[in-house]
Amino acid sequence: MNKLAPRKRIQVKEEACIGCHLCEFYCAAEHHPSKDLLKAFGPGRERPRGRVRVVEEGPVSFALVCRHCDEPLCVFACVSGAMERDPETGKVIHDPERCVGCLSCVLACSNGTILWDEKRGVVAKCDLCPGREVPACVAGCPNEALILSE
Amino acid sequence: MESYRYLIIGNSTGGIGTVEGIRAVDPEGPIAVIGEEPGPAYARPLISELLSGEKTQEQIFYRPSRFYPDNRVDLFAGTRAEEIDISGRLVRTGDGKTRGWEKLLLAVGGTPIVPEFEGRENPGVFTFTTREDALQIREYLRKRGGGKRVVILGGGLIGLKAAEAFRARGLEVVMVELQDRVLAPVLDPASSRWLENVLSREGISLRFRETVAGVRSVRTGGFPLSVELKSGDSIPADLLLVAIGVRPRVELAQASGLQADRGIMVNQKMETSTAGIFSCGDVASIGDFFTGTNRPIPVWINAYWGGRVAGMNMAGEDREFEMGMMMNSLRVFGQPVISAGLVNPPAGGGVEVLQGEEKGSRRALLVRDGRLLGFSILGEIQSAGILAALIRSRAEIGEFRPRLLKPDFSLLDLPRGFRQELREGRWNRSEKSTLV
Repeated sequence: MNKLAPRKRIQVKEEACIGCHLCEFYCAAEHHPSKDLLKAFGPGRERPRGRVRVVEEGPVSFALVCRHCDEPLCVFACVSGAMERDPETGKVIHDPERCVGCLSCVLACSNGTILWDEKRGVVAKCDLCPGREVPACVAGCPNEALILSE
Repeated sequence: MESYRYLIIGNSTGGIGTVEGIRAVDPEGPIAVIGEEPGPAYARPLISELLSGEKTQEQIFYRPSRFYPDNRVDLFAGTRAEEIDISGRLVRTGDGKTRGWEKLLLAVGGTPIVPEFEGRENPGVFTFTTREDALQIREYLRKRGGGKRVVILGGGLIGLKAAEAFRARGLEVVMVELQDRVLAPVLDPASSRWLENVLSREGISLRFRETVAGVRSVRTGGFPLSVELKSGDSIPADLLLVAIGVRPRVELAQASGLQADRGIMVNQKMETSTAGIFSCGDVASIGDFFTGTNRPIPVWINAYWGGRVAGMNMAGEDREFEMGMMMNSLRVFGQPVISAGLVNPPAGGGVEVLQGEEKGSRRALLVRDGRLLGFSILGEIQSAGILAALIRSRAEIGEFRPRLLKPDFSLLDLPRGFRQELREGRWNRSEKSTLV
């Protein structure tokens, strides 16, 4: 039944990435209670963290973002049950309420895309933006360096 | 008599991984799980949160309450599998019931090791591997007005998490370790030292090259116990926690004729010496990634992953478990600690240790023949998973080797072709990797 699940996945096209970091901002805003870029990043507020991170060196840049593996090692490794793969959608989802910050998923992820949030003591990862047809990072990427494949 | 297509003995991560592996292939075949401990599966590593009081019993369930009905699993919890009849394909449990099976899996875990010292039966001596242990320790301390000092025998993962929980309860902690450092099998020596500084700062008193010779019921200064050390010292304490490791529970398997030495022998399909019977988790002896020989590798992810592979095979797939290596992560007193593979140079030489330290972070990498064998990291752990994938892929690290020590190491530091392989999830099939 898992095999039949419809799959959405964010593909990273590093040759198209211009290193603008907009995906980080759109992601953080989407996951902010306000879902609003200006409110999320407004003056005097604590800078929100997103679930995507751009790395860059010289001319090379690209986004690190969860690939929602079919056989996700982060789920296998999770000791608390916070990490789960939805068999219907194929999404690998994380429940921060159940996360104990044991770092097992960080060690399991071969892409380094599960982000450790030292301050909150839990990890954060891509959830493909529930309620949106196209995730915020993909929608906001000005050069199609992030695309949604189905 | 009830009969099941799949019968699973063990209701912790190995058993749950097996259920999920079976259901990924076979949505219908009847499954039963027999669990010795009462109730649904709980997150075993979280018993330290139960001990500290940070979490309640309800908060450490490993799966939501709908897990068993959703997966059409009959759970028989609170009863122990006493006997396996291989030729009759039956299992008899402590409640007097006999159940039939077509495919069987054993994930019965390990029993904590308690050395044969005098006074080990004292009610103040505990082990710490089950929810019940945590609850009993809490009750014991409550009766003693909270207690004042505990002695922990063993500076391993369980001992450290217990130490943290006891400190959270306001107790003094003395940690006694036979080796000359903490986490010796899991960290390189310098990383152990680093962590020991954290422990000392948090008020843990460390006693190395030392062990417990006995426990006496002598009231000294209001303490009910006197923990006698090998050196002759004695420590008045409320409680002694023994956390020096677990022994695979092979008795049931051996009595039924399955091949087992230190653990139940399984092949890469997680199948035992008898076709149709599988094993996983702390009780199983699995192929070591580095040597190819079987040994128990009691690590959480191995238990789940091995169970998942076993379950898929039980349901008719042809899958192999390909990673038998040590993988550990923990956060103790806020300090992130991660290690994988070989962390101490094996005999035979030819191993280089690369080390890097900067503010709040250190890493040690073991390299042989241009390939990564293992690592320990404290602090900046964000990209530890990529390093673990490099070990599993057996990739040559030649050109990007200096970059592995960067605290902000990421996919960016790998050659483009290799990072594309990781993105496509091809890291774990070494024969398919173009960089090997």
